[in-house]
Amino acid sequence: MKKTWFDVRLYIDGLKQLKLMGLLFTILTTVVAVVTPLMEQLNYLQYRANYTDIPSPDTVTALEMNPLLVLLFCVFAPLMTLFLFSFLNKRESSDFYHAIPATRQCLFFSFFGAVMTWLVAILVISNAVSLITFASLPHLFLINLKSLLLYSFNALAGAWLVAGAVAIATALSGTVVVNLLISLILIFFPRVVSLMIVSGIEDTFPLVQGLDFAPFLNVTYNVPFGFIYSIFVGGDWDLALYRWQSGMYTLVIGLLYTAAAAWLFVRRRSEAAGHSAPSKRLQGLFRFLVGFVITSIATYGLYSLTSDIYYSLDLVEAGSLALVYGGGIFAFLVFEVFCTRRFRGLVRKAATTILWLVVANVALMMTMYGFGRTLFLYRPAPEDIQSVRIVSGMDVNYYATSYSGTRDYFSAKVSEIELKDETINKIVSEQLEHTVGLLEISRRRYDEAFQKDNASSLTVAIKSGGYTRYRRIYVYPDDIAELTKRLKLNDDYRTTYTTLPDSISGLDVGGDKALWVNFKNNDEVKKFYDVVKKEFTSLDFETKYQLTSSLSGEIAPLSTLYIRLSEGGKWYEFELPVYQHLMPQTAEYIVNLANKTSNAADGLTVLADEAYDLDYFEVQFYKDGKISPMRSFKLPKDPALQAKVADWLKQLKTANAATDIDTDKPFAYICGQLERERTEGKEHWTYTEQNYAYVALPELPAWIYEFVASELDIPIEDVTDEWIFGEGYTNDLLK
Amino acid sequence: MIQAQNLTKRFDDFVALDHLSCTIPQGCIYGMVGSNGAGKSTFLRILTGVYRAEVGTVEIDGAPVYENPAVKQTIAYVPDTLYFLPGATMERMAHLHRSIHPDFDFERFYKLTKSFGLNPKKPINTFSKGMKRQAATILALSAKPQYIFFDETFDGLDPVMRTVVKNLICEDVLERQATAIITSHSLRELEDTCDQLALLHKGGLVLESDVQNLKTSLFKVQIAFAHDFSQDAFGGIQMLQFVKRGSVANLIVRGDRDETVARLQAMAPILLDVLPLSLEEVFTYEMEALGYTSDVLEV
Repeated sequence: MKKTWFDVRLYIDGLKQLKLMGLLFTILTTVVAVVTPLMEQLNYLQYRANYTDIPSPDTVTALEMNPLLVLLFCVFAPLMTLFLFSFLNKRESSDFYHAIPATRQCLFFSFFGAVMTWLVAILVISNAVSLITFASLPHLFLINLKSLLLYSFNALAGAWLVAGAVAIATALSGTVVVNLLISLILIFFPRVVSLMIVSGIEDTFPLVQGLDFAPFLNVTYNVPFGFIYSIFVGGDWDLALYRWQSGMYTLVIGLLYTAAAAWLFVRRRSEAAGHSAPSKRLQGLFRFLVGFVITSIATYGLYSLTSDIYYSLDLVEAGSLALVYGGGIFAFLVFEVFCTRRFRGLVRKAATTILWLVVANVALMMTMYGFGRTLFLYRPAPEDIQSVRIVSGMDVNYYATSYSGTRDYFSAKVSEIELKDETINKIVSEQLEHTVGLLEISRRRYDEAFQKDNASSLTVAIKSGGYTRYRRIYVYPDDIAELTKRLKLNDDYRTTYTTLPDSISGLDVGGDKALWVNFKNNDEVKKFYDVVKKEFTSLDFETKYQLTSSLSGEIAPLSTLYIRLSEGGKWYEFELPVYQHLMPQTAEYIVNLANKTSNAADGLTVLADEAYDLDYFEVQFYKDGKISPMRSFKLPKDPALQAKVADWLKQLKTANAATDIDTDKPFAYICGQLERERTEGKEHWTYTEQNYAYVALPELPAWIYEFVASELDIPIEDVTDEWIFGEGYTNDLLK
Repeated sequence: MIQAQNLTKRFDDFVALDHLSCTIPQGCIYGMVGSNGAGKSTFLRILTGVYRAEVGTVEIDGAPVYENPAVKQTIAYVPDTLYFLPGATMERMAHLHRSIHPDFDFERFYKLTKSFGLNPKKPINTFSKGMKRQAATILALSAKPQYIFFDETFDGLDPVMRTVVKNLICEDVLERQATAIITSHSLRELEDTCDQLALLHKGGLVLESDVQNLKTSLFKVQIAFAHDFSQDAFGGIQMLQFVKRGSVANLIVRGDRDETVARLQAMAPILLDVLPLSLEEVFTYEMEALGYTSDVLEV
C-alpha cells in the first residue's frame, strides 16, 4: 500500500511547493474579508456622530462576508494545479518525477491532495476570520450562517471541479498553452453545449421553464460556469453559490474529473512532455474540439433561426453563420500549425477534422430538435393531474432556491401550496393544450396571443405521474376569475393571504409624502408591527386578501409598509398598504411618528411664518376615512388664495396642529416650497427648501370650499365633502 | 543484478532500442558508450522506470522496475538533462530526496558538498553547469542507492572532479556492492573506471566485454624475418589483422600473450615487438572483425 496510492512525504513536498501561492492567496482573501466590515464600522460611527437614530443591522450574505472566496475556483484552483503538475510539460522534470520510487497514481494523489489541502485551508482560514469579524459587529450585521456554509461547500466543490479539469489537461497534453486550452474546454464547453441546447429549446418552446427538463442542465448547477456566466452574461449567480444541489452536482463532476485525471496520469508516457499531445490521435481530438467549440455556436444560431417553420434565413444571417463556421475551421488550422510547426499533411488532417465536425454539428442540431419535440408531448388530461402549484410570475429557478435575493412573501408561500381541485386541473389542462397548440402553429402566433387575444401568462407546476413539470401557459380573464374563485376556497391559500408573518427583520414606511419615518431601534419596529398585526387580524377576509395580494383601488393609501423577513435562510419581502379607514391605529401611529422624525412642528412654523413667500403649496385632506386628491397651488399666481392659506397656516401653528394628531378627526398633509438663496464666499446659488407636516384640523378650512366652488363655478353652499374629496369617491378598495 | 531481455522502444517511427539484451552483475561498474541517438539514455530511462519498453522486460534483482516503488527506491539516477525544483537550494533538494529515499544520508551530503566546495544554501539556479552536475551527483550518492546510473555525467565535469566522483563510485561499489552504470560518448573516460564496457549502436548492443579481458586478450605484434614470409606462416595463431609493409608485418592477435610470443620466437624472427593496444583500438579491431565500419566508433 505504501507509495502505491498516497505518500505522506510526497504530499508534504507538494504542500511546500505550493506554500508561496497558498500563503499569498490566504492573505488576499482574509484581508478583503476583514476590510469590508471595518469600513462599515467606521461609516457607522460617523453616522452616529451626526444623526440620532440608529440604523438597523443588515443581513449580510456569505458573498458579502467573504467576497474573494469565489477566486477559489476562478483563480486559485487552476493556478495551483497547473503549477504543481507543470512538471509534466518538460522532459527533465517529467523524467525526474517518473523516476522517483512511487507509483504514478501515488504521485498523482499525493500532489492532488496537496492542492486540495491548500484550497481547504484558504477557505477555512478566510471564513473563520470573516466570521469572527462580522460576528463582533452585531449592531451592523446579521449573519446568515446557513448561506455561508452553502457558499463554502459550493466554492470548494467548484474548486475541485476546476482542479480535476486542469489535472486531466496536464495529463493529456504536454505544453502550457494546450494545458490551458483543454482545461477551458473541460470546464466550460460541456455547459456551453447544454446551455445552447436549453436556450435553444427555451427560445423555441417558451412555455417550458428551465428547471423542468433535466434540472441539472441549468447552467447554475455547474458552480464555476454558472457564476462566471452570470457575471459576464447575466443571470442568477446566487443559485450557483447557494444552492446545495449545485454544490453536490459540481462535486460529483469534480470527483469524476479527478478519477479520469488519475487514470490518464497513470497511462501518460513521460516522453509526451513538451508535445502538445502524446499521440496523433489525441492531437486530432484536440483539433476537432477547437473547431467544434466555434462551429457549435453557428449550429445553435442556425437552429434558433430555423426552428420556426414560418421563418427563413436571409442573406445576412446565412452569411454570418457561414463566417462562424469558417472561423471554426480557421481556428483549428491555426491550432494545428501552432502545435506542430508544420504545414505538411495539413490538408489531409483538415479534411478528416471537417468531416468529424459535420457529423458532430448535425448530431447537435438533431438533439435540439429531438429534445424540443418531446416537450410538445406533455399534455396531461385533467384526471391525470395530481396537483398544481401556482408559481405565478416568479422566475422558477430563482425563487425556488436563491439565498441572496428576496422574493415576494405571499407569492412564494402560494407557490408552495399544492392545489388538488378538479376545476383548477381542468383549466390548467385545457390552457396547456391551447398554449401548446398556438406554438405548434408558429412562434409568431404564440407571441401574438398576448396582444390579440388578451391573454396573460401564468406559470404553473403540474404534478402528474409522480413528476413535476413547470409550464408557462396562457390564461384569459375568465380563467383568472374562475381560478381566483377556486383559490379562495382553498384553506391554505386563504390562510396565506390573511396571515402576516409573526416576526420580521426590517420595515420601512413609504408613500408619496415627503415626510419620512425612522424607527429608533428594533424594539420600536416590533412595537409598531404588533399594532399592524393586531389591526390586520381584525379585518375581514376579502379586505385582507385585497391588501396582501396588491389589489388596490383608485385611491392611494396613506402610506405603504415595505416589510422584509427571513425564513429558512431565504429572504422575503412584501408591501402592505395602510388605509386610514381600515387600519386607523396604524395610520395614527404613522402620522405622528412621521411628524416626530421629520420635525414637522418646525416645518409648520416655517410654513406659517413665511406663508407669503411660498412658491408652491400642496395639501391633501383626510376625513372619516376619506382621502382627497392631492391639490397643488402656485400661490404667487393667486394672492387672494395665498392670503387665505397664510392665515390658515398661522392658525394651525397657534393650535400646535402638528402634534398628537387624532386621525379619527379630520387632518391634512401639507407641503410648502420656498426658494432660498445662499452665499458662501464668492459663490452664490439658489435652492428649493421644502417643509411639510401632518396637521390636525377642527374642520376643513373655508378657503378650500371657496376654491372648489370657484373651480366648479358653483355656489359655495353647494360644495359638499364629496366635491372636496372627489366626485364618485367610495371606500370600496376594489373600485 | 540487472537483466534486460529483448528491449525495444520506439518514439513514433524512430526505433531507439532494438531488441537489446544484457546482464549487468551486482557490484559492477558498467560503462556504456555510443554515438548520439544510440539508445544509451533511453536504456537508462527504462532501467529507472521512466519509460516502458514496448517489447521485452527489464528486471532488477528479479523484479520488474516499471511502477515498482520497492525496486525504484534502490536506484539513484543522474540524467543528462538535470532537474531541480524552481529556486531550490541543495538543502531543499536534499529534503526532497530524503522524502523519496529514506536512506538518504545528510551527513554524507554535507561532507560531499564541503569536499566539492558547494554552498548548500545557495539556489542551484545560480550554479554553473558543472556545479549543477556536481550537485546532482552529490544528491544521488547521498541517497546510498544500490544502483546508481549516470547519464553522460562525467562529460560535464572537470578532470579533478571526474577523479573524485570515480573514487566515490568505486568506494560505494566496494563497500556496499553497489552497481553503477555510466554512459558516455568517450571510451577514454570509461576506461579507467569501468569493469565492463558495452557499445551501443542504433539501438542495439554491438559489443560487450570485460575491460581487462579486452585489454589483454588483444595485442599488436611487430615481426620481421630474414627471409620472405606471408600470413600462412602464422598458422595456429588467431589473427584479426595482418598488414605487411616491406619486410615488417603488423599482426593484431587475439589469445594468450606469453604463449603467442613463445611460438613466434620459435620461428627465429629478426624483429619481434609486442605492443599494447588502447581500448579504442581494441574496440575498432573488434568492430571490424564483426563487420562494422569504423564510423561506429566515431563518437
